[in-house]
Amino acid sequence: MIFLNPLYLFALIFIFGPIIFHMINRLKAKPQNLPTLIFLTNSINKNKGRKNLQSLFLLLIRILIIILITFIFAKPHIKASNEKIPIGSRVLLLIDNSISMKRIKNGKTLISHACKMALDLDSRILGKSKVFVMFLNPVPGQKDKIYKGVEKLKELKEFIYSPLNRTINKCIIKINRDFVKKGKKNVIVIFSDFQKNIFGNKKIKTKAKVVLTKVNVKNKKNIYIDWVKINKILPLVGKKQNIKIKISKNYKEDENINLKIFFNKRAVYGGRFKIKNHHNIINIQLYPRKAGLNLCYVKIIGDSFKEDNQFYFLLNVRKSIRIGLDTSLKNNRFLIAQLKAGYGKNLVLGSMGDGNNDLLYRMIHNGNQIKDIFNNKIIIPYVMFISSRIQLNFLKNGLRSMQLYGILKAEKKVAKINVLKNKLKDLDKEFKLSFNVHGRLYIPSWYSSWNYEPILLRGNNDSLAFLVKQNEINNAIFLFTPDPIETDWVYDSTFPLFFRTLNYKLISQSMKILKRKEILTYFNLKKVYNEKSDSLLGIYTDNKKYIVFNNDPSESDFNIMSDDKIKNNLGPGITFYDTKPGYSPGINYIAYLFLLFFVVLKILEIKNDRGKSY
Amino acid sequence: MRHFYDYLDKRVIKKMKGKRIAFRRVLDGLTSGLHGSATKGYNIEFSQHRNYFQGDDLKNIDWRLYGRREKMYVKEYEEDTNFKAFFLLDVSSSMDFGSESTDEFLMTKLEYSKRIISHLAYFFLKQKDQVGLGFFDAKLKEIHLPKAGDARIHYLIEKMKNVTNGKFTDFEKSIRKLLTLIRKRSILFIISDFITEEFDLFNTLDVFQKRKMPVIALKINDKVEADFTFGKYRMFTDPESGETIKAYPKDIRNLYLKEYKNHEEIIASKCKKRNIYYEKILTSDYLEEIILKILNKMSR
Repeated sequence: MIFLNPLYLFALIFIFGPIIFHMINRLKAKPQNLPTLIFLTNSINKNKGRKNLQSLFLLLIRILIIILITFIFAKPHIKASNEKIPIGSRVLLLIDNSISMKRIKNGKTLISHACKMALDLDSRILGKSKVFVMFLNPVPGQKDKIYKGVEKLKELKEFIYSPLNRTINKCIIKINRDFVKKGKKNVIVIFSDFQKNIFGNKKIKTKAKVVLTKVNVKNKKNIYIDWVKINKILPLVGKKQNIKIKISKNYKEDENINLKIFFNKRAVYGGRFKIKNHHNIINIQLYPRKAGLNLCYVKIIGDSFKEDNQFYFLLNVRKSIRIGLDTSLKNNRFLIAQLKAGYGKNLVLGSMGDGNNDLLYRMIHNGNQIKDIFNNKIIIPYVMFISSRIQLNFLKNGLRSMQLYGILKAEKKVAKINVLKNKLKDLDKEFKLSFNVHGRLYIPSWYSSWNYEPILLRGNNDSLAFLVKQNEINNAIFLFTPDPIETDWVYDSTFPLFFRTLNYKLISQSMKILKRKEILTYFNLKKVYNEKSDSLLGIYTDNKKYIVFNNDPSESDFNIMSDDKIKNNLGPGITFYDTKPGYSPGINYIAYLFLLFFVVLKILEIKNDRGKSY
Repeated sequence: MRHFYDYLDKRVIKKMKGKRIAFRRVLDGLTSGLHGSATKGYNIEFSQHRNYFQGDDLKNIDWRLYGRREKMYVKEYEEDTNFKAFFLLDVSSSMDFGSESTDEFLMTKLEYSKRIISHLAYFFLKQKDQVGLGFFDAKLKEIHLPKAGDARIHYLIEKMKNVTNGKFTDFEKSIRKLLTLIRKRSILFIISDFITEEFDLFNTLDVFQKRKMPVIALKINDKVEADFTFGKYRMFTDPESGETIKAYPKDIRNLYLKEYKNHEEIIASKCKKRNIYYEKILTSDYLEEIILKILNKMSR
């Protein structure tokens, strides 16, 4: 048993209080002659033994109450049983490092809890067991491998979050290959919050023993709206347009809020609004009169919001260049229309994540519609982070032969790829980044009819910036779909580029040429954090206060799987253990119960004494 | 006069002055004096001879008869007053109890009882009545047969002053012994705290009733005995048995008061049944009020 607040144990000194009180009472009985005592002696003597017992019992209760109160403050935790891990086994601690693990529980992120639990577990594994650590998603900038020992857990802190959604199933495939050894006791302990789809589509199959450890936080009352989304992203100048605003929340209770929406400092919507479901849509009308960047922000006043809680959006109303902030693009007709109108010859997909991949998929899927639009290239940086779900979508739609990593070669284009490779080598020297140009995206059905060249680029946005700088990409539509899952390291690389590229294109039209430095100076970037969830809201400039994005609903929807659902995802021979490898605070509840019991007992005792207890 | 005012209060004496008691009950004859009586004295008319006992006044010896018979006899006469009051005082250790009070002077039950006896004796002697006195605890300790005379009060006070406390109380034994000594009709005053659980003494008192000797029971208690107002944690000791109980007074108060009242009720009912005048007295009561109350009660 350990104590989370051991300093409170000093309060146990107070135990001596009742003992001393008791002793003093015993010793300091003032002698008193009483001739009429004969009236009492008979009846009292009968109960004398009982009375002595009662007084001892009272002392015991007092001491126990002090101990219990001290224990409640000291928070004792009992070590959970460790039978799940046999002696001499090979233990793999699989830590879920997806963004949902960044949620806060007792002032610490879930992943910190998971790491602590894993370390606790490690300290309690008996015998000659070997412990390994692996992260569910590859840690950005680190190799996707199984680490020996738990040192990695101590080294890594916040930055181990991954924007990917690798499933456990996918991980298990790797684990089966690299970790599980025949004739050994293999144990996989998974620390996760078990969000939906964490297992993937298939059930887990492994010869190792699997122990699932749920790390979760129930913050139903921690009310905050985690994203506000405008679904129609490109209003046209001089035309009244309806815009839908989605407001989402990640809790189930209803809350009334006062909502005000401003468009270029003019209130376009105001009223009381009840958030009921995950998606709440408000229709507003906008009448954008000027082209260029228009500032739109939503002001929310509710019980769980501060008055100055505002969500900013940058709406670009411009004919020549369209910049979208939408992530999912379920309805991409508008974009297609813009493309058809010839606003851009190249499509540059900035950033990574489901949004872009979804878009990519849709474009490929509806290729016949848009095949005439693109003249030159589709450049997709960060494809390495395409999640398995998207890959599956690709595979489902007849792209079986395509792996985003393993690319088919097209002989005619080899030369071009080599040129690019050489260029990227230079870039490698400059930015110290690793590039691996795999080749073109092979789309069997209609690839041949395309007259543009999709280039699959593995790298980061600096490489994109490099390409922009080198005039490799001209006259392109930049579509950036920032996800909420990026952590600092992503923002550091993505959004400066976003601004650089965005404004380069925007401002260059009016000012012809602006050098990068000037742009950077113009946009003095700062980060904004959500106070409640501690997640990054976005980046804004000091002078303009443009908040460029908000959280993506797909990631903020923390749907945790129930135990039954988790069990359904387990393959044959794997049982679900909802273990608590850390410490169970259950003892506290027992203490509360006992305290209640003793208090009731004490009250009864007092009542009894006031009556005729003898 | 040495101890005269030790037990007598001038104020009370002043209040008693001029008071006369006409007893409700006719004792023996109303021939002379206030309470005509057939009891023997040395006053007017010769009644009989009786054997001389040690302690008898020498002046009452019939010397002529001694000359004839060579044996001493005492002459007895028909008396004027004819009233004999006999005080039986409990001197057990339970009577030697007085609550410790700083704001008022509270004497022990024994001291208080002595004062009651002194005043009543003074009053009766002034009426030319005879007054006797006895002390008892476990047994009848001393007995001073009823006699009249102005100097008698000094004698009684002297005796009361010198009496020592005994241990425990045995009412029945003492009263049975007393019965053998007081044969003439008298008024018997029993002054005690009556702390006993054996109420056989009342059966013994029936004999007094049969002999037409009225009994007056004065139950003396201390204030704290009656209301049990003790402070903190105490170790109570019974002075008679030496038994001790440690307890918080507030814890046992209700029980004690119940038992105390119960005991009082038993005594009161037993007295009422035997037509015994019963008076509860607390040592905190004003002495003069108590004395006058008793006298008034007797004079009814």
